[in-house]
Amino acid sequence: MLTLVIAAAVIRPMFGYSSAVALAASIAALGLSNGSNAGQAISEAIVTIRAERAASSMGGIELFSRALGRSATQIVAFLINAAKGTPIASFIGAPELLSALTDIASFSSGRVTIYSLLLIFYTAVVMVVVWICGKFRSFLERSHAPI
Amino acid sequence: MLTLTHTLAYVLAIAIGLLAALPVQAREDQSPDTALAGLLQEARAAAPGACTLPGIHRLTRILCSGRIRIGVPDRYPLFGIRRGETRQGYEVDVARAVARKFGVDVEFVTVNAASRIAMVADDRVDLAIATMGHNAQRDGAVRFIRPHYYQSETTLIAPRDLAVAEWRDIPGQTICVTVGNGSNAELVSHGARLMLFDEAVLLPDRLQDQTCTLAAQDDSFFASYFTEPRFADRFTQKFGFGQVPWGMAVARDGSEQLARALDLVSQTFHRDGVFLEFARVNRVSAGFLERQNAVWQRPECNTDAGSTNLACILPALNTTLQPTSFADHVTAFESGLEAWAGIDLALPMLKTASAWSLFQNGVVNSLVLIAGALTATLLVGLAFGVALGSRFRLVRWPVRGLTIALQ
Repeated sequence: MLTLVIAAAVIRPMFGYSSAVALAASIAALGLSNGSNAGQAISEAIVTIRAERAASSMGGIELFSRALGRSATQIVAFLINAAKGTPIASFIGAPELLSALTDIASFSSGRVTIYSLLLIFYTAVVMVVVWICGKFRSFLERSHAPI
Repeated sequence: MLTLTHTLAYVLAIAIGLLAALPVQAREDQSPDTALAGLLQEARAAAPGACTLPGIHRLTRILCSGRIRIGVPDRYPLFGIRRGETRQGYEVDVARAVARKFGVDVEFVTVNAASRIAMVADDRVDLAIATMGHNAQRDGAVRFIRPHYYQSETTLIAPRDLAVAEWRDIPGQTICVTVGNGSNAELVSHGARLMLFDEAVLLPDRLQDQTCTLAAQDDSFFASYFTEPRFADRFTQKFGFGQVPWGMAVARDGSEQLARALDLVSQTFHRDGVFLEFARVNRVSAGFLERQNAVWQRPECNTDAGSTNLACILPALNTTLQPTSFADHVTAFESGLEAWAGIDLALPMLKTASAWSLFQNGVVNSLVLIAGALTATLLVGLAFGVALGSRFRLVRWPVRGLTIALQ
């Protein structure tokens, strides 16, 4: 949340307010907060593999791709977290579904249905993201099975 | 000869005098005052015999009983307030003046926004003067009196130093509003983000504790707050929109005579500045009433047909949003589901063009946001992973610092 507010505060004076700017700020904030955690998981895997294979001459691309395979589960967890966290973008005015449905609820009846629909939408989206990430993780693990 | 000339001159003078007086007489005959007096006289004449008859007109019944039941609010500052047995406010004063005009006593009945239409329709009050905006949807439920006795608008309230003066300053602003307010759709269409509240009374407090930077609500609601120096020093009305005429309302059935009499009363109250005086006494905004005072003094409006003259009266506000091409199918589906399974489903996002557009944009933007967030997370993760796993401190340390800050 704090990252999101800071991203909005930095980007708005530079580009003014627009829907695109709010979306860009939200993407940057979500990418940085979840990506930094994923990056730390990858780096820890790199350090571990490096320690395990101290005697070997492994390095560069090979080391990195093996680290990816080892940290795949954590990377996937942070990707899912990023997808689940997107409704928070409404906090800085990004015109996503939560924001749109709040606007619709302001001049319509049927708030229960409106927000139930939001729940269904995000449940479906997260299920799709989990499925895609599962495929991605399988690919990483197959490609770089631990030696 | 001289006598003949004098006689002719007298005759000519009398003829000219009669000709000049005829239009005035005609105008007086067509005045709302004459029409009202005639209507009341007719009803009074029928009263003794008709009082015991079933299904008599409301006006006759009011004259028979010697009292008129008028629904007014009791917790709407400046318009209708009740302290013990004492009622005061603009609408209370109007109600008393109407009763005086009919020569009957007034019996006040408390109504609120939820009950006022039902109480008029169910004959629990003869007349409602209860902060009721006249819109086309309500025309089917009650008969509104023309001309309208007041007009309000939605006003945007904000701290004095906030640079908001017109619609182009609105995109991206978060505005506190009440759920179901008819002006919310217009705010949304201008790019405002809305924070919803169930009750208007929460808005002034949320402005003062800075939860809300801007609040939008009927100007008649905020009028009383601006009489408090502490509030008025900090906040101001930035601009208004969505004007709504307020109408007195009677039942649609059995009220033809009463409605006609009230139309005429309302006309004369505007023309004679009665409404204007009540507004000033109660410190209610009088701009609309000043304009109406001028309108109803015009010869073409100051007639017994003035209340049906489209050049004099205001139209009802049309708040109907444009429906989607498939709105009927959605309504049929909702009704069918309720009839079949008893499920009360409402799908407003599919029924009006503005809601449908918002919904579609919301879905597309959410998908873009999710795809963007996943891509950004992956790219940042890979970049941070490489940097944090680097053997070079100059690369590793700054990124470690950034990671700690982000976490």
